Amino acid sequence: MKALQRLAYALVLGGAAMTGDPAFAGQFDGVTVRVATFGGKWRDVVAEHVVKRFEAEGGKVEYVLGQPSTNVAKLIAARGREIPFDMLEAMDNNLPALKAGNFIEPLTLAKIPNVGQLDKANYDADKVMIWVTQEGIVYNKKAFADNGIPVPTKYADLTHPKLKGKVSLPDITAGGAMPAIVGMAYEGGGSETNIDPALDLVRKIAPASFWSSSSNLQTMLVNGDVYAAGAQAGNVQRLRSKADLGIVFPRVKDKNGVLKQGYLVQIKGTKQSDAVHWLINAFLAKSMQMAVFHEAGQVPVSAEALDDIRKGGTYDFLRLRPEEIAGMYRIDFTKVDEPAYVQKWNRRVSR
Amino acid sequence: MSERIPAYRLRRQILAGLILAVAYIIVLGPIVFVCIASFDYGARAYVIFPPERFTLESYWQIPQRYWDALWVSVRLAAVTMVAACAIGIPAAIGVVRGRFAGKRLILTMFRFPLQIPSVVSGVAFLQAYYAVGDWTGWHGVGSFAGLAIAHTFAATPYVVGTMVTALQRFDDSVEEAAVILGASTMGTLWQVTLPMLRPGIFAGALYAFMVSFAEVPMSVFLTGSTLLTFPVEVFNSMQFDFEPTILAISTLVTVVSLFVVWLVQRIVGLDMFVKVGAAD
Repeated sequence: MKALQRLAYALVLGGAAMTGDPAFAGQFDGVTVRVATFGGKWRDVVAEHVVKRFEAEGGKVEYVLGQPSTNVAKLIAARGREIPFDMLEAMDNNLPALKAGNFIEPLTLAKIPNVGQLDKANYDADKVMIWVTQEGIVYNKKAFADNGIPVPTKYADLTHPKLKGKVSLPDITAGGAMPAIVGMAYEGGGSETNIDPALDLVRKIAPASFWSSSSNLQTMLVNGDVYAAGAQAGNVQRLRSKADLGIVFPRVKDKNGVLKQGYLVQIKGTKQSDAVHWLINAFLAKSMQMAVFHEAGQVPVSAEALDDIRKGGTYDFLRLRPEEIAGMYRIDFTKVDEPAYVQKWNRRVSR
Repeated sequence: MSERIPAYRLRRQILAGLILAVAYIIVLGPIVFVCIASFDYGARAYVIFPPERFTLESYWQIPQRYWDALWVSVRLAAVTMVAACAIGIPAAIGVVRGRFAGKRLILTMFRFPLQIPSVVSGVAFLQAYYAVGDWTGWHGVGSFAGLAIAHTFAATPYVVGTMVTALQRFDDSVEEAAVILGASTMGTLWQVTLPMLRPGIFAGALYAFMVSFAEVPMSVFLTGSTLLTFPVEVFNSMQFDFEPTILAISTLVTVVSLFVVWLVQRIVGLDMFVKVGAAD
């Protein structure tokens, strides 16, 4: 009888292990985790593919919605007090402030088995990457062909006379601003520490507009108000049914194109560390990573998701192989002085 | 024999009509655009205009979170309106009617919230609420009361401004007549002064409501996980991606607003805004 009981326990444990969840159902009864993340459709995606599973384990998620920079401001304001959230979705440009403020609680990577799906460069004890966007020059193939404009290979090609009034660049406040600015800086002999060549190039390009949100940009691309824009490849994917868009990844230092990265970090002072680890693991699960691509328009980081996407459709405009993604430039935000750059932008890029 | 309109007068009328038409297009154009575009629907990330088809699908698909946020905003704006009037009306009466040194300074101080960028106010309130929370145990961030206090801070100058303007145009002799005829101070206030100030009160209250309802920069910092205002919910959605349902809920809010304006016209008449003038 005892042997049968042992066998039964073993079967239960084995079954639980095979689900890929490193824990048992119902283990988070009464646990509430506050997750700081984007609002809108992204929240719906997270709710459907991550939070539902967490709720099935008895847990509850409270969303603290906002741009990462706003949420970081809340964290700074709460310094020395109860933290406003347990887990934060941050972007690469937020990491230096989080590190400098000592807001990050190191992770126990053994509790996040799905990191095994990631390239080693995409995670460490402080943070785990969950998506990337691939930044370059999005252009309307038909408009370029009809007007005899050569396909751009670098940002300086946007000064073509026939593109006057037909280019949009990201506003300094947009998420895609730094990738474009750093890309243009390197092209002009500058770098993260010297963006003057980028600002000079922006003035030369004299864009028709500076986009501040992706929906704003996408409307301009679809309506033909803009033939080319400094933007990410997700715009090509989302607008495939409406416009024949392409993307080029200009040379940046010794790489092609720029990566913008989204991370999850655990906030120091959280009392729900186990739950946070579970949630981070769930963000890296295949269903969520596929949803990142198909529903949110970003590129996942999980190897199995990337593999499925490569096999499942024609996404030749994206860099989906690990070596291709490794060939894209990652901005060193420790060298970027964003407040100073905003001031420079406001002074020199007049609108 | 009919009188012919002189040519110069005709030219002036045409020019005035053109200017008015341009003004209407500039002011109403975006609203009409949103309303028309809301009658299209599809899984897309951009606005289509003119709509490719006519459907009410966007309206049926409005997520519950928008309705919840709208209800929060309506309640918050109503509370802010009452609080701002409760502070602003007596303050304006005191400043205009009072005889003391520093009246101009006090009036200027009431206008301070208008001079401070809302984002700065939002961060200041965030810090203040955390400090108050440490001291009293009351946590304002993410609470309805915390939002209401911040919105009242932003809205009160508008009430003070409209009331000061109304009071400066007030005919004191009517009050004096009431007192001479035997009315008490409070009786004069309730039966003479406040009814005559009604247009200013309504104007200030409406401005306070609108300021609170549309407030984003402060609310972004002060909303919490279970409390989101409608503009912040829409702002967060638009920052990430476009949803056609945003157009639909915005159209509904516009329609309700038009109804409120019609109601105001029926009750007090919109010309009170012209009489009273803008807040600043």
